[in-house]
Amino acid sequence: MKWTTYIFLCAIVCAVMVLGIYFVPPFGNAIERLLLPFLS
Amino acid sequence: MLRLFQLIAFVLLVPTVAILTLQAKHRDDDGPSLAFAGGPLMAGPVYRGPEPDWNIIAADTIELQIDATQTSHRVRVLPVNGRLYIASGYMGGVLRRIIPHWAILAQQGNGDALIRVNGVRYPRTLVRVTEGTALEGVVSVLNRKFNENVTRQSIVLGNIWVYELTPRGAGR
Repeated sequence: MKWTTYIFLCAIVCAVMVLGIYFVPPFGNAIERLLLPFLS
Repeated sequence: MLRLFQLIAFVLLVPTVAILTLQAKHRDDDGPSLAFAGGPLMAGPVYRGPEPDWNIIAADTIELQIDATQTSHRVRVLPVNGRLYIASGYMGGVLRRIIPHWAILAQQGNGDALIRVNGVRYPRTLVRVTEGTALEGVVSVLNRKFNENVTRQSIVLGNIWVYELTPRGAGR
């Protein structure tokens, strides 16, 4: 994959995730529950 | 090879961004989330009265505000003989030194703290416990309540930190 395409894809995924965490609480809660075993 | 590198970078990037976002989102909340620290505990009346019998606490965790840092954390609670203790494990781990953990933050300032149990806030003072007869009870509750395999020695050696939540002003 070309670097430009890769960076663009990463930026899209991260932006969607950040917006989801901030504005869709169930999404943020689900992500937090997924991360919980690695954080505690 | 390039594709593998890109995949690894992606796998590292996504959880890192998620953790940083969740951390920032919860930083100013009234109380902690499941895993991330929050801001000061604001809601709920402040309890003024005789010391409650803490053996009635059924929950596994409570919300703890450390006054010195004005942050709140979800901590495991251990009622022992009517007194209240909180514990943190893996204190010898590398992560504990990198990411500020409540047990380390609790050593800042004069130990003043606030806990919220069933919506009521209780002013407390954090006193670290590393010896004494109370440890037997703490170990027993830790093992029973959280299915741990903790020994008194792990507390004495500092792998597990235990604090007693004494009433604010007691013993000063």
